[in-house]
Amino acid sequence: MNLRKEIRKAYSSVHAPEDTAEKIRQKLYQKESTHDDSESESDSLPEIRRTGLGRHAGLIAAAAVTGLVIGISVQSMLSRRTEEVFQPAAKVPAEVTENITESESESESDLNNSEISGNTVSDGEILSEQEIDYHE
Amino acid sequence: MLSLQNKIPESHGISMTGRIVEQYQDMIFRTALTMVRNYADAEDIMQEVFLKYFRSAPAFLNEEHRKAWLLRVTINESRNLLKSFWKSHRIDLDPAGLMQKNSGTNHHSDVLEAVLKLPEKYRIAIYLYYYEEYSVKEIAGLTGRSEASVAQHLVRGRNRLRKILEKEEFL
Repeated sequence: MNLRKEIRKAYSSVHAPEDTAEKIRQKLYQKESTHDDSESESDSLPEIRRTGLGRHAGLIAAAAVTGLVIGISVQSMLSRRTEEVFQPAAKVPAEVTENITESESESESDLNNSEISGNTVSDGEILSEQEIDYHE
Repeated sequence: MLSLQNKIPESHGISMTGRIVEQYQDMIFRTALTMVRNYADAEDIMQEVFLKYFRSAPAFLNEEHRKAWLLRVTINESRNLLKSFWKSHRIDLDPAGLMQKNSGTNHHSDVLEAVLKLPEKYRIAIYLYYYEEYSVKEIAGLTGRSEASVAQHLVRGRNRLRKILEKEEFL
């Protein structure tokens, strides 16, 4: 038996449904009619022409609001942090603060001694030198 | 057969609808049936292929180019269906659905059923080679496989088909 012949005969008996063309026509018409309906709806609506700025107005507004929110939150975070850094005394024991004040007074006296010995140069002297250079 | 040529206005760019449907509906239906092994699914695929064709309205070099495009889209649509969740989780009561639908003689329907029992890669190669009379190279192009694979599928499919038919005493 010829396999090709048998296969050809078998497939020849298979046909598409007779109403295929009608179904496709209906589906195409459905697509067309829905397209037409959408067009007529858009025609009946009032015409809104938006400029470039108008089209992006929503985006700009959203960006502005987002920026504002971020700015406020950052500012509040910074202020909270500043309060935490510069007001620690309430949590530190009194003995520790006394030691700190003593050491600070010692360092201040050392600084005064060094100024008296003439090792440091005052701002007034530097400025006067600069002025001399400028005039030269 | 209902002709669409005079029913759909030419302004829609589908004046050749009727001729195209009449010319290719059987080929697309057979290809889809070979792939999905179900009449209802094959009909759905055929309609989808035609709708794609008329919506995209591609330009073809010649009739062979058009035929190849339709076959390629049919194979792709069938593969998409076979891969879909719905199809993979569905159990057909009558896998081929041929007993009620096929109007041919019993012998021919049995041969067709034997072809449809083969794995997908074998049956599509056999259909395209023996019925549509495409070459191995052309089948490779249509199915997206290498020529060596297609040749191998043809040989193996043919051997399996012979075994099935001999077992059922058709040969």
